[in-house]
Amino acid sequence: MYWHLPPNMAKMKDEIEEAAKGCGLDFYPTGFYVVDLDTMNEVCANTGFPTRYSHWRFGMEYERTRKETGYGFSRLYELVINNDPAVAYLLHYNSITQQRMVMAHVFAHVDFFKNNACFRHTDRSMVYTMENHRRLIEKYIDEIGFEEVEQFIDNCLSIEYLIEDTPYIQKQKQEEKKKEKNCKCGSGCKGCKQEKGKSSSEKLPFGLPEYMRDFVDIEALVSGRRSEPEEEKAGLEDRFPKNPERDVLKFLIDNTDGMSQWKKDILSIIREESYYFLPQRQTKIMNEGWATFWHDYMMTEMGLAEPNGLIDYAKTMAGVIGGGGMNPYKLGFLLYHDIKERWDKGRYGKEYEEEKDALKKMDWDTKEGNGFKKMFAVREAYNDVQFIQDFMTDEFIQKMKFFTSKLDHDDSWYKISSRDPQEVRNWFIGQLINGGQPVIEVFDGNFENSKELLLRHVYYGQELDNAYRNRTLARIYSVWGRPVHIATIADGQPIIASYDQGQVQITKW
Amino acid sequence: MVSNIPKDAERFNKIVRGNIRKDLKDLIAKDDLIGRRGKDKVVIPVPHINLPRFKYGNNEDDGGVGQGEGDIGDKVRPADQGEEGEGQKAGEEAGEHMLELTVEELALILGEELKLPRIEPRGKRTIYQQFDHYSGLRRKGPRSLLRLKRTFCEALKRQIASGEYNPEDPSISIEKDDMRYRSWKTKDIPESSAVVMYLMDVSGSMSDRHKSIARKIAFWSDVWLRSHYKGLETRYIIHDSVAAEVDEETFYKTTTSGGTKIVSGYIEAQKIIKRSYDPSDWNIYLFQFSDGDNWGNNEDEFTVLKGGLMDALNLLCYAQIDIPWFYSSRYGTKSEEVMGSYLGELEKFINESKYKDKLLTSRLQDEEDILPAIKTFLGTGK
Repeated sequence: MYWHLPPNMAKMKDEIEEAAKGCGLDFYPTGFYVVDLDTMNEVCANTGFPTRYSHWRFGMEYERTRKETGYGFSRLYELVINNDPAVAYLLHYNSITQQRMVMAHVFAHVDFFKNNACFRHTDRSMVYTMENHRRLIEKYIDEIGFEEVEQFIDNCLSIEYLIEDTPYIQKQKQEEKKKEKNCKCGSGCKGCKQEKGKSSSEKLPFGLPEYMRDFVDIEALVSGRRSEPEEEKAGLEDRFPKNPERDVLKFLIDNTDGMSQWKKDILSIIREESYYFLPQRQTKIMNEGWATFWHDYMMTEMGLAEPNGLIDYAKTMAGVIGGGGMNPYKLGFLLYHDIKERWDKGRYGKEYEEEKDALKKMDWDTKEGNGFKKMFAVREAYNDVQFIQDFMTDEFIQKMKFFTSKLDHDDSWYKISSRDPQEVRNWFIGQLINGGQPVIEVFDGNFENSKELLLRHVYYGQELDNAYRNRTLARIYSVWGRPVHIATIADGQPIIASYDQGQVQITKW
Repeated sequence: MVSNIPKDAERFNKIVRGNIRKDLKDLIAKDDLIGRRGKDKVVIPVPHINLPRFKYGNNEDDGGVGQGEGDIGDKVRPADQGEEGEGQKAGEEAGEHMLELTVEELALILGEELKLPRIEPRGKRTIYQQFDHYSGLRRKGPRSLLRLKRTFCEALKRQIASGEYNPEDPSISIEKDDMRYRSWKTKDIPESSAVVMYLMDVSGSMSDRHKSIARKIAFWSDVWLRSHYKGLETRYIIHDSVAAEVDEETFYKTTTSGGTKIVSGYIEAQKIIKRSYDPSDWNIYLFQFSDGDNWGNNEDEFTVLKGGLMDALNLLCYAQIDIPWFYSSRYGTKSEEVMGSYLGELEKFINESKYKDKLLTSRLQDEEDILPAIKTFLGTGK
């Protein structure tokens, strides 16, 4: 069951919307629905799109959420989807105070969707796009047959995350390539590149000033990837594609031999939806932190909570930001608070950092008052990895008493291994890079000169799960139709795992 | 908005059940399910449900980031140890999904997989007969079932409550609401019932593995039969050189050793039949598990079988578990398959007698053979 807002809540919504605007939040018009628990579970299982195509994994997701919420292990207060106009679902068991909080939370989310750089290229009419996808898939089910289509969707879903994690950079790269073609001296030599760089009218990401263009490796900055050493590139000219392709799905769509149109369409659908959801994985901490910060600000500082609801609010809030270090609500919330404080009091920059006197540092306050301004700038330009990198300062880590722990094999206890801020930061970033997914790219689409597919796992210190790896290879095999290999590292050894006709072979190299 | 979710959930459950079916062999061979009751929930890991993806392996050494006081080297939390740790690891592997099922549901899946016939009760073998009996009252009913006394009582009650009743001049007027009629319930009364006896050899030659295989067949047959026949009775007998009737738990847990006289088991079964189950009213099934190693020349056994036991039985299901034994002698280790001879001789004996149709046999060499054995015994629908 779902309902439109009842009159009292509609009034509430107007009130909160005004308050949110007053805070400087800039959001799409937002429609609210009140739903019961079962509908909420259904909506969640469908990732917010009741119009999404039908597939058993949504059923699996539903069974899982139903169990979790049914037994009270977890609670869903709201769900909001990135669309213009945005759509938000509120659980009707929420108390009035909770509904207020949740509405404020939702407006902040929508503001984030609208303004954050990662979301800039997402489809804002996704509700309709999803509906179209569903219709197309249903059409193919009618034409091709249910089992076959389902099988193919299963295969594709196994690789749905294998996309470029910085689509906007990708676009930039393509444009550069076009320019390279015009370059007189051939394959984009350095001189030409610099010239082109200077003349480029393309804006730098994250609001970097123009003069920085020649000094930063933009691609590496955005994706967190180091540029490859030159010698690695040499001697592999005859590879196809020439540069490793991060968008594996696109590569498969374009280059799979004899792939029929319906398969191409379905793979494209999955790719498109994957790109749509990607920014949400990339900005979990920032997005939830942002929404939590603002609902807290509105409820307390702006007095949106009724006096008799404050206890209820405090209890709910304690639940939201409870728990350990990786709770994105809590971490983001605290980081934004830290940012606000630092820029309010001018605690940044060379002067502050070089100050040796701890007491002076403690009382440091230049009355700058730029806290909110900085926060808005951050929410516009950052993703989680950069957010942690730049704003999880040593002082913050010390203040929060973060530590890393390691397993001591002697007595099977996890023990504190370090309080070095850099290690703590590295741990967080390791969890967040590429949305927590391994980075896989197409290295050669004509491996062994026989149209075999060679993927490469870009190693950041974490190995792949072997069982999953082998089963995924089998899935890719059934899409690609020829043997599939992946170069990766297992048990500290560089290996190539190859899948051909039901068998996985491991070769060292 | 019409949600697809119910459809998706249904499809998902179908896939899960399909997967269980594929893994049935391993599931049946699991020890920890044995002894559960039909309504007991069991949690079954269903492998290969989650979509496989390239994902990071479990880095056990990494304890993650924590928050709080403490010096380097201080304990944070214990690593999961022993069984629990293993369980968790297994759960992580290859995308398992935990599914809750009752043992009964599992037995139904088993039946589907083995294509066991759903046995239609017929003739004398109908286990239940419907029987109406009067058990209560209701306000409406046919005149013929009116209960006068109760109706008067109700009327009296009503009149006293409303103050109309005058003890000096008692006159009762009955209104429609006072009427009480007999009502009945339909009850299933067992008319002719079935009993299954499980007879297991627990002598020294039956190793734990022998017994575990025997128990698994017994358990799954039992669950399946129970889910089909309400009111089925079961009896358990164990024997070495002497036999004893035991309860279910003992049957599934006991370890004994000693010599082997199958005849003792037969005699015990015969006693039970004489005591409680008149062959003219009961369908009697005997499941026998042994390694085929018997003392003597089987003469006694056949005498008992001939002397009335076979007549009483509807069916004798004999499972012989022949696991190769490993002998280590001073000449080195050699493996020798000890074929129990009882199976062959029993078949020979029965085939020569008039009880030809009443024997089903199965020979098992390892856990793989459990499913076929169950199919042999239950597949005929007798």
